[in-house]
Amino acid sequence: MKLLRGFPAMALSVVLLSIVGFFVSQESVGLLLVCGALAAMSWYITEGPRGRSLPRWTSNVLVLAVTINVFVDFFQHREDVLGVLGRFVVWLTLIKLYERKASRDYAQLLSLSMLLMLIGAIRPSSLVFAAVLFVYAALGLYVLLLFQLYASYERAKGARLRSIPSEYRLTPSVRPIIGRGTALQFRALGSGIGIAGLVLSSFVFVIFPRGMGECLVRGLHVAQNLRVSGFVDEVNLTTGTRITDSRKAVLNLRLFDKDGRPVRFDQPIRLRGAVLDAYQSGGRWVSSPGRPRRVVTTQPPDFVPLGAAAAEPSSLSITQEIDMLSPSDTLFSANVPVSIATYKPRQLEVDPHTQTIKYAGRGRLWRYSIKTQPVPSDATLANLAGAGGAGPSPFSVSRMALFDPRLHPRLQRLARAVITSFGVAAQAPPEADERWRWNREAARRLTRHLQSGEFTYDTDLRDVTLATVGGRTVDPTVQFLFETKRGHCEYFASGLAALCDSIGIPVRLVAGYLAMEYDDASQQYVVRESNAHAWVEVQTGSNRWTTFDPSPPRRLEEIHGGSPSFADRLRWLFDRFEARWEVGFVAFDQDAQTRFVESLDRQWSPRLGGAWAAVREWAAGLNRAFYLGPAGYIWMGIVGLALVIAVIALVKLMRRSLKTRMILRLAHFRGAEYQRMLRQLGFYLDMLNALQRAKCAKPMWQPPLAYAAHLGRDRPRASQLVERITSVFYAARYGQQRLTRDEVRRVGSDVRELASALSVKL
Amino acid sequence: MKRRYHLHLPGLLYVVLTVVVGFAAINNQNNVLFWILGVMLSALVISGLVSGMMMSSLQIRRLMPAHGLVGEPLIVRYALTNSSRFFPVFNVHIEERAVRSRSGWNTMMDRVGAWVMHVGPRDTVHGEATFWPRRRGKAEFGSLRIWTTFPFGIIKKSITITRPQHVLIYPQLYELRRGVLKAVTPQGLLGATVSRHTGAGDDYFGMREFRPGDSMRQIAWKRSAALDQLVSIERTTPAPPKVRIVVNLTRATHELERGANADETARDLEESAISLAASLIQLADLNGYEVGLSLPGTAGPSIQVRRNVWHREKLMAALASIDLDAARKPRTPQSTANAERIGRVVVHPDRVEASLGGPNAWHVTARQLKNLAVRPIGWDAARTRADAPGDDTKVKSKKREAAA
Repeated sequence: MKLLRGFPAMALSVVLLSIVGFFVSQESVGLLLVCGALAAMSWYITEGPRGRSLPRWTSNVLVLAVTINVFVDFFQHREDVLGVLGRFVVWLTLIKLYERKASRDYAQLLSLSMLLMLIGAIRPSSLVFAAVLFVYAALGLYVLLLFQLYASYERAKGARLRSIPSEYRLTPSVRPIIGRGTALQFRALGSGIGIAGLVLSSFVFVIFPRGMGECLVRGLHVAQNLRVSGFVDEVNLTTGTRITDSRKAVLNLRLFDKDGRPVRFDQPIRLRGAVLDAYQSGGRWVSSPGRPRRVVTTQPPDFVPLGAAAAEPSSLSITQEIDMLSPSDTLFSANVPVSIATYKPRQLEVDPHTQTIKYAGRGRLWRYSIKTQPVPSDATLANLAGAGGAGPSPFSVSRMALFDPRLHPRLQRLARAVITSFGVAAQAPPEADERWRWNREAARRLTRHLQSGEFTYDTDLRDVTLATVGGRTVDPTVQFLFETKRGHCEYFASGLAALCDSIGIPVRLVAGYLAMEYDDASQQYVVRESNAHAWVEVQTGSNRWTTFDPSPPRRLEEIHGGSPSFADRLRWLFDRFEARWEVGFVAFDQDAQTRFVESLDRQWSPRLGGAWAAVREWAAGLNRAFYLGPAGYIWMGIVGLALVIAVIALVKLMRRSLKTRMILRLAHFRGAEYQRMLRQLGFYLDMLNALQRAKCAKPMWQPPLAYAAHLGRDRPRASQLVERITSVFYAARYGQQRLTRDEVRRVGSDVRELASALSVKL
Repeated sequence: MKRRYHLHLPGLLYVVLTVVVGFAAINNQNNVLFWILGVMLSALVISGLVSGMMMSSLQIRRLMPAHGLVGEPLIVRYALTNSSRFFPVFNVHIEERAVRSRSGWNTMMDRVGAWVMHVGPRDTVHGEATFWPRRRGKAEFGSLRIWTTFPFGIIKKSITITRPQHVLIYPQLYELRRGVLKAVTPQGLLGATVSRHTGAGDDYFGMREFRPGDSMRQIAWKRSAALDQLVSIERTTPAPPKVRIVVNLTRATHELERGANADETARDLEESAISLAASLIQLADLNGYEVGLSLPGTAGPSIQVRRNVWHREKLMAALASIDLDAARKPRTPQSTANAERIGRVVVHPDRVEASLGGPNAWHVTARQLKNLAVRPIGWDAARTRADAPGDDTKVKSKKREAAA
């Protein structure tokens, strides 16, 4: 009964939690405080010492008023249908909380709370909402289980009371019939169901196909303002609405000059990770697929050249040592990498055109050193590109039209207006050298334009939604350049790339980190997740690409170089969880699904293969040790099988002994007498088993002979056998009679006959 | 045994909601919704598995009472045994299936279910259903269904088991006025009779030689001294008053004379006569009478005058088993012979037939029941259900009223 008495309070907790969850998803603190307080007060008013509740007519009037209000609310907030619906459900919930509550009302309350959480979940999800949802799911499961019992109890009680004639003197008990250890077993079962539910739901979550059927009904589509945290090897402007503030360290960077002395630069260092040279509609930057890569195998401790031959020595050569704290497949390098060394032999893939390096082997790459040249010569660049001489690479030509040509006129107008205002020619000169110079100048002017006060740098763009014109979604880069003029580094870089591309300048986006935080004690740069950055490279020579960063440098310094406050340090933990949540859960899409399956395959295949190889090796060793020869495996198989059978038999024997000891109460027997009983009285256990299998088990309270008489009504033959077996059992168990071998055999055959009479197998 | 899964209205709504959530998840590619969809789908699977597992490990026996009584609760118990070693069973409902027969229980009483909240692993728990029989006779029970919606109320899993059993419902008993039986006892002027057998009474019967086991108080000491051997005194057995109840069912129902009351049917009169006879038997038994029963016009045997618990049950069972739809038998000389020196009460449904029961018989009609009876046994007009103990909500509301 204690279990059921706690139900109303638990139900209120769940409802309260759903209200909190909904307003957290709405980010409406004021309404959360008001409605939460009203909901909490309802407990004191309806269940407190006075026990007052709203009369039915009052609640009906209130429901009517709320229904009218929802229409008014809808006409005022047409764009926020979910919010209107959610607020309507909240008001209904509050009214129900103040009503007198029968089990049906509790069912309605729980349904409303579930609806609230669903509405909250449709909106973009934050980590706080996810935490509330998780607690709600756990508590809701328990309350739902409890509700089944509570509702049934109320129904059974009501039915029993209703059935009694009004003038009858005595009333039967209406207390529930409860077995032993109810609360404990109920909680254990609830926990089991919860764990099974979590495992199953996670499985469904992982395997459910993604990417299909998106925007089936455009009117019901709610844009997901997903957030991308840290570095990723692609840029998605529609989902990357916020750059994380996470201060989790990703890597440590040490720089040395050619003499091996530590170096520190005043300017920020851009660590190139991924070069994205293809723009897809919808604001997505990716690397061009199918580009040839050169495979390089390192030989520690030597540096292996990344080009076709060893690079020319340079006085400005810098060696960078990187310790990865959160390893990834991408290798980072400042400037142009010319050679690389790892601490174990590793296989790497080098893209000769972009000078980016990827790790292609198994395991993880924790530490590597790269020699770079900040100002490489043309010969070095040609060597790295693998072209063997000057001239544009084939990729630079194909990259001429990154953006949709339909967008070009508008972008061109803006780009030409900007560069001409700075005195740069509107058209590119025909000569190659002039053209490279013109590219540099035009890109510089366009960068300056983006860094002017016209554009605002902001890391949180959750309130920005993509506009649609004529049923088509506006390109996010175009919207940034012409409409919102607000964005973070990815928008700025994408904007510059779009402007350059529109006037024919070969351009590409680079994603990586900005190293600014130098630790004097360890003489190294500390790079954090919040230092993730994107910038642009413009082609300024046949193999030369120059970096342009259109993000406002002052804002960059504030964000990336500012010393963290105490609150920032406290937020570190939250950020870490948030980063995990967003990368691992919210951004779990089709690609992530594929990667997850591949990683499973990568992790488990070697392990299983290794285990199998170890077994084979062990068997071979055993074979050699005993000189068994080629037939040794057969013998080992036979011995193994025999061992397995012996273990199974031993376990069965022990279980049977324990069962016999327990059922026949042999605990107080000792020595030979105990062994004899155990050996001889197993037939009685077989008889009970046969009866149980025939679905006519002997009740514990009934003596065997009385049970045999009872059985005789339907099954006379079985009854006779039970009587006969029982009499032998009585003589042996209580009469201290030692059964002869014949008697044991006879009673055994009786048991078998009983089993066949009951049509069961022993 | 028949096992079934039922998708009832809440389950159907749940499935619809799951489909909607699935659609929303696909349309928005929202991972939280995908996870909620996973939770909802797994709840559906777990609900079916858990309820199926619970039902498969459950065994049930119906424990029928020896008899029931019209107007009194008939408590049928169900022994639920959970044969599972680890898993408990929660929220089990038990209901009787209707029997398509004239004597099916559903023709005599309303449908009432039993509910058991919890049966632990390897545990046996008794649930009970309280029926309220409306008429007497043999109530047949056939199959019964146990079902549960645990854990989530989405899927209802049921097992139907056939367990044919029956119970006799005795006629309704009334508390009769005091002194009703005194009028019919034959020893009014002659005094109480004494049995001609030795027994444990107070009066002297005779003497005999002492036998081992005789009480010291039985020894006639003076006589023993005179005879020089132990002699014991024997006492008489008190002979209780005897009464025979005769229920006149010689005329068929349609031949009975109905009274002025339009609501009163001939069958009601017959049932009232049987109830009156049962009430007289009950009263006589309580007052120490030996009671016999004759049912002229029916196939029921004439039961001799005796007094003990089993005899009373026999009389009641005879009354309960009367089939009023069967053809009536003509009156026989034996049934009216005044062979016993006992009081006779002849109960007639409509009008007195003085020829039945002999010259000293006391005749009553079913219409006199309301004059002779005070109230049905177990009923109290002064009390209502609101006073029922164990009703927590009523007690709570009463406390609140008192506090106010």
